[in-house]
Amino acid sequence: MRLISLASKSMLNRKASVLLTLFTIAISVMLLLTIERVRQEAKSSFSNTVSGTDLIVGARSGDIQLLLSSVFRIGHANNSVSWDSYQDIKAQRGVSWTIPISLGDSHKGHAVLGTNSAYFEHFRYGKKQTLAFTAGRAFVNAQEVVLGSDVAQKMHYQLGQQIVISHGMGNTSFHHHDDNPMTIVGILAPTGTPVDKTVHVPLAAIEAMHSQPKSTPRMLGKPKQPAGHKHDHQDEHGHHDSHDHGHADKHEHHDSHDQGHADKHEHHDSHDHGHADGHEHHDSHDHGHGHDKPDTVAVAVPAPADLHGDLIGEPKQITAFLMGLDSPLYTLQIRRNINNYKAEPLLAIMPGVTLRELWRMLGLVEKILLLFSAVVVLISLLGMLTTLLATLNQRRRELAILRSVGARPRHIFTLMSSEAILITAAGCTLGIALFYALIALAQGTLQSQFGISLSISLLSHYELMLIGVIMAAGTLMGILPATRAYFYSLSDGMSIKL
Amino acid sequence: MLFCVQAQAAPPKEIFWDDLIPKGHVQISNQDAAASHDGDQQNWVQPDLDAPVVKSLDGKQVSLPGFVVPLEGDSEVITEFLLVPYFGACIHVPPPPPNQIVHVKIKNGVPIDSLYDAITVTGTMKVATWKGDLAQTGYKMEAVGVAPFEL
Repeated sequence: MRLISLASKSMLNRKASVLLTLFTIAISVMLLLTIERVRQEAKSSFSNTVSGTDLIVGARSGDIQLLLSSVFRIGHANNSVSWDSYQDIKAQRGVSWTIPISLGDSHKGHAVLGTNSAYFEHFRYGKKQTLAFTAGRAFVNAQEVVLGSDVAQKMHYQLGQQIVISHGMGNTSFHHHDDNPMTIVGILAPTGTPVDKTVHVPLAAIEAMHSQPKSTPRMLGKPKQPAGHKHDHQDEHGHHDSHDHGHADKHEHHDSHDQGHADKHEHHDSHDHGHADGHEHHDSHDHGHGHDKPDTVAVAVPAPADLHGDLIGEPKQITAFLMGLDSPLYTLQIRRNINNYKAEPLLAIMPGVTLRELWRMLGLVEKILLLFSAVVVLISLLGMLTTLLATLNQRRRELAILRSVGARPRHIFTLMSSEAILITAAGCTLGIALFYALIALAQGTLQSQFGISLSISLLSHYELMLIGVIMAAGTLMGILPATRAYFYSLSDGMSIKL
Repeated sequence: MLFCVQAQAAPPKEIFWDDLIPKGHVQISNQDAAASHDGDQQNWVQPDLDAPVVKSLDGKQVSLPGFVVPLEGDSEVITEFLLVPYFGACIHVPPPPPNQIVHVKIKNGVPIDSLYDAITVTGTMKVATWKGDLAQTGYKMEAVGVAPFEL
């Protein structure tokens, strides 16, 4: 114990070099931990994104490309699946459920996914967890939209608000589908998957956006600007006059946002007192929407055969679809049949298998990253060794004095090695602190840019093991100067020639 | 209770894929089946519709070697997979008939590094029936252990 206090006092005397060494170690430890944490979290984010899906079917491209584009919204599909093929495959024996997916549009940088109600029913993530709503409900007609939790949070969207979907990917577009504002009816609970960053709309809405004639490109920026919308709203109001119930969504929107339309509101209210009730009863009577207001958007709504008919419209193609089967034993055969599908070149992948393939491809990169960070740690430890050895000569006198007051050579050895251990330990502690600071800083960016959710959790066993290895290596490094000091102290005695 | 423990401790019976086909049943060669009715309605779910199972295997402790086709899992472990008799069943060759696939579930999962390596799965075999248009049967296994296959 006395030796350790002696060691720390001796180090205090050499603050500058010791502190530098300590920082080198701390930074390398931080680097190693961060790289490892990001690597692991990235992997688990990916694995948690899709679950309970037996097959993903898309146009023929690459397995990994299809997986990345359909589920992770990374990259994009080059081709699509015709609606007829989808219907045909959906009707085959052994198919339990399907979720059609139509991608390719965006809302302020968030992916827009066109689907139907099967999505909310059958989509699973993590360990077969279902999607839950924090607020609202699933969409039931073509003018309604459900947001992922991140989208709602980041854009400060609330239920009842209206948004406009832009054409194409990217954070804005010069082709807003302005004439087709959609009402937010649901916000999903956070999942830690790309679902959080997705705007879910009915397939019919996507078709409607793409089929109607394009108006002149508008300037980018605020699609909800009252000025830019005046004309549209007037249309809607005219429409309200004729259909005086069930449009609570639009009404709410006006209330909360468009102060400029106060005059119209008055007009509206005097005319149409049923609205207030409409708000509460929206859920119950909204199935009919798609049919009785044909002028709001140019949806070519066919007479729907059932409740959800108006969600789908008449799409010609979808990007991909997810499939669940009656039994996993069918997977292999159905997959083969889809891959050999005669009417259209299609590709079916098993998400689990493709994900493993992806890991195998990335495995090398992972190993290289780990190697690099390990080398950085090694270099920092070697730096410590160099400093210790370099100062050893200057400290011969110190050691000799210690010897003269009764320290035995093994005391000198302990003194020197405990110095290395102290530096490594302090370096590791500081490194861990820096690591948490860095994670806290980078959390938001990683989540929004790459969809990797980092959690500030305790060190895992693996990370503790890494720290242990670093400590052991540091201790080993300390032995070298300690041994030299041991022998110096034997041979030197007091006779130092200055 | 004691009996129970003993039953559990008894070494699982080592079986092979042939043991999953009832004696006397002539399994249609899968390659032929796939070639003749390719994309055919009959063929959509499985090439050999009445591929029968060995009922006596139900509830037996067995160990069976094969290849893994992962279904569920996280970044570390696989919790649910199909065990198939040859590698690549999921990729380029016609898939095996249903009585040559075992749907394995393993609690807590098992880390599997390479899908190219054969493994031996130990667990309780179940003959499961489920309803589609036709009642179907197949093998399921609640696995307790997985070991690399020793050549």
